[in-house]
Amino acid sequence: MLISILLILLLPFLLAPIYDSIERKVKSLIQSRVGPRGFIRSLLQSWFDIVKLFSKELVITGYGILIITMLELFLIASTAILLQILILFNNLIVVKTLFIVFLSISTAFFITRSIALNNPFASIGVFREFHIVLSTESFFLPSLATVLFINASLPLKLMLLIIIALSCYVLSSRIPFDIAEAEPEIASGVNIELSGPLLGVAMYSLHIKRYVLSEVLSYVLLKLFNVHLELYTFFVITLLTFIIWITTSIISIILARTRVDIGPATMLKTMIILMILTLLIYMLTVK
Amino acid sequence: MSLSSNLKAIENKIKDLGGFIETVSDNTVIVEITKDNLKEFAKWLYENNAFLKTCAGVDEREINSRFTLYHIFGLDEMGIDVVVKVSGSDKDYTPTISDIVPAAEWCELEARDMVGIRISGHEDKPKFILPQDWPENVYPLRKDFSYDYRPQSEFSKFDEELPKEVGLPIGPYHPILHEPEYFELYVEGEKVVDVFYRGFHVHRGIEKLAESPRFTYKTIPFLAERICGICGFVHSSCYVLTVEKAAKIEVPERAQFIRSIVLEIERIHSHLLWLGIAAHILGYDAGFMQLWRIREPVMVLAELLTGSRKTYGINIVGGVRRDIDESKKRKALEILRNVRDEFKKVVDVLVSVPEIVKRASGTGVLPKEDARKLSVVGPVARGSGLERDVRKNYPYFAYRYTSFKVPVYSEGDNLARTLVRIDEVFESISIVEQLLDALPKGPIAVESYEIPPFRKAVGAVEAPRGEDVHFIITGLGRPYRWRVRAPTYQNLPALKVMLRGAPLADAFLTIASIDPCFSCTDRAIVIHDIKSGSRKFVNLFYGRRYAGR
Repeated sequence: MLISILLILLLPFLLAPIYDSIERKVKSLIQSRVGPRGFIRSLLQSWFDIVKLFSKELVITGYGILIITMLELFLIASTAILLQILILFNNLIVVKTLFIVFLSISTAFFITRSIALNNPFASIGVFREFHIVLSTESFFLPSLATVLFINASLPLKLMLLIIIALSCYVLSSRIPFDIAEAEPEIASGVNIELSGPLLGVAMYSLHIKRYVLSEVLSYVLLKLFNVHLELYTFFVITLLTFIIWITTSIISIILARTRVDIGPATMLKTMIILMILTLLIYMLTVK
Repeated sequence: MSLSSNLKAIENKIKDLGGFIETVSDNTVIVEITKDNLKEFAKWLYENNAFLKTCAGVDEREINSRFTLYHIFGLDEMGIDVVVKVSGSDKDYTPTISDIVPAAEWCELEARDMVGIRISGHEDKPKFILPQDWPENVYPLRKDFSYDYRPQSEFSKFDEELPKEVGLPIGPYHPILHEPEYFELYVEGEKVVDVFYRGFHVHRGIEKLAESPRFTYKTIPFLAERICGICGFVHSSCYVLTVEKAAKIEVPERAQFIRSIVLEIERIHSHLLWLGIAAHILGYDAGFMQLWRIREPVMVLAELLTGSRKTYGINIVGGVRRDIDESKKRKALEILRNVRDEFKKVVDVLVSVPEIVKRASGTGVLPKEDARKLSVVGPVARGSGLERDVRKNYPYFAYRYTSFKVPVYSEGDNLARTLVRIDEVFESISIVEQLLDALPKGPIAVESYEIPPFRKAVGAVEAPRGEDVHFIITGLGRPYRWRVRAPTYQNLPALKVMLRGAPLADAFLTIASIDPCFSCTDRAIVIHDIKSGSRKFVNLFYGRRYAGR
């Protein structure tokens, strides 16, 4: 029993790079090119990349960048473990609270990178990421907390699901919202001075973050149908996580990247409208 | 209006100003004028809708003991080039015309750096083409400067190479750039408030090489083709066009058709490349991959017709080296049909992606008046409402036998320039089909030709990036002076206008939207041997790190 629980807790750490490899294969098929070649590479390419990065020389360019990168991994790993516990043992309020706290810290921790790195590109990257996160997190976290703690009515849950789905997509650093690190002119922005093992750790943290966000969405989706979350539903959630991951990746492939002023402004407007609708529905449905 | 009536107007003006007309040929008028009247004449030309093409400084001490500056104007509606010549000794000051025609600034600075012609109004400006540590009073394009001489660098002056205040460095090496270029964007938050551009890092000394004993008229087309990777054929075509104009060589029709066909194929593949790059810059990698996949058959087509995918090597003075037979014709038409169908599908998707339209429209705006003042060329001009196309205004090769539209959009933003290039691909495909159908029989090169010395000619060809201008003064066995003005050279000054006040996020799309080709642009001479050349680059890069972040 203990071993199976341990395995379940470790699942995100094993699966996240595998899902990323599958995403890359899907992307290459849509773009009419080969991508990761062969069956093994279609599943394990990102693992190969991380392992290869670890074999390179460790170069530390800024004071504190090593600690910050490791802390980011620690925070997102804790978030992932807490989410797994939350799914297995549904009614632990402590776990739910801790999960929300860790989720909010780990999505905002990137700001410390600009302090550690004396690099204008990193500062611009942080600045852009800040805009995106700010415009979504303030709506994402209350909606998630509501879903976790309160037994809401179906229309309300539906609205919250929409907000959470949108936020999970935006926070997963995908096109169109990966302007902090993928916009070419800032030369990989927040990730600019990472290389070798540090970059491997940062990429791994990114994969786990995407896993956590996909899993959160699948959990909320199941909650919509008032399913009692027990061990067997765990497998459903794991499967749903995979489906959500691939769906978001396909959406990201067919879109282009937004701009630092257009993206957050659009998100803010959308979120405010959704929030207003949610409040209206709440007021209408509450007795 | 016929040539003679236009000529009358120019002749009268010249008489008023006390100059004289040196030669008239085809569609070129060469006038000589004194320094004092240069500004007035330039003003008159500018007000009569002339565009400045370029200017060339020449060391004519072997001919008539003077240094000469040639300003080349083009009157688009009449299809006439007016070459204005001012000469003097190296102590005299030539007045600058950059206050009347801002487009003249770069080429005057180049003449000052390379030939040592003194131009009043530019005395305080630092070296433009040459690096700051180039020794004083050493002028590479003078005849007494040997092409393989390597001057010592003045290291004390090297710090002047670096700007004092530091903004956001984009270059010389940056992941998004395909060639070294150096832009410093001074940003406040996300807004660009000023632009500092320093180019000419890849200067290879091509103009000087052409005058050296290593090259002759026959071998220079191959040198010209290596001016640029993407648009090399344009340069070799323009060179042979200019030499043929100067020497009045009658090129067979079939050769002209073949040259036009290959030029259009080059345009198609260059625009497809650019569209892929633009999609990539905007994060739309799916568009990038698909466009380059579509571009591949065009490269195969080039290989079928000329023997190479890129640097074709088929141009020679007086004709071409390879022929197109029936089976090649059929295959070419089939390839073009497929390319057109696939391209249509991709373009329909590309312009429907919301982020692309939102990011490209309204950004990097170049107003029409600035475009006129800076005399920009190519899709940059056509995207800002100027209807300039060398194929229509100064017809060359076989273009007068084809009919095509010149797409013009007036918004002047990045999206306009993108749409111009998209339309041009369709037009180019149609031009190639027309030319292939109408290919006349006959030889593909002249049997023999003579090139008399000291004839002058101006040739212009529409490259994918705009108008490419070559100016030649023929010499004995090789040109006496060969001036190449690539389109990007003319378009780069427009970037200052486009980038100021714009958000940083648009900067790269804007820089890319002029389709910069720095290999074409950076041609002024910096003579290094390999060792000191690489040391220089390293120093420049390292120097940046210490230059006070």
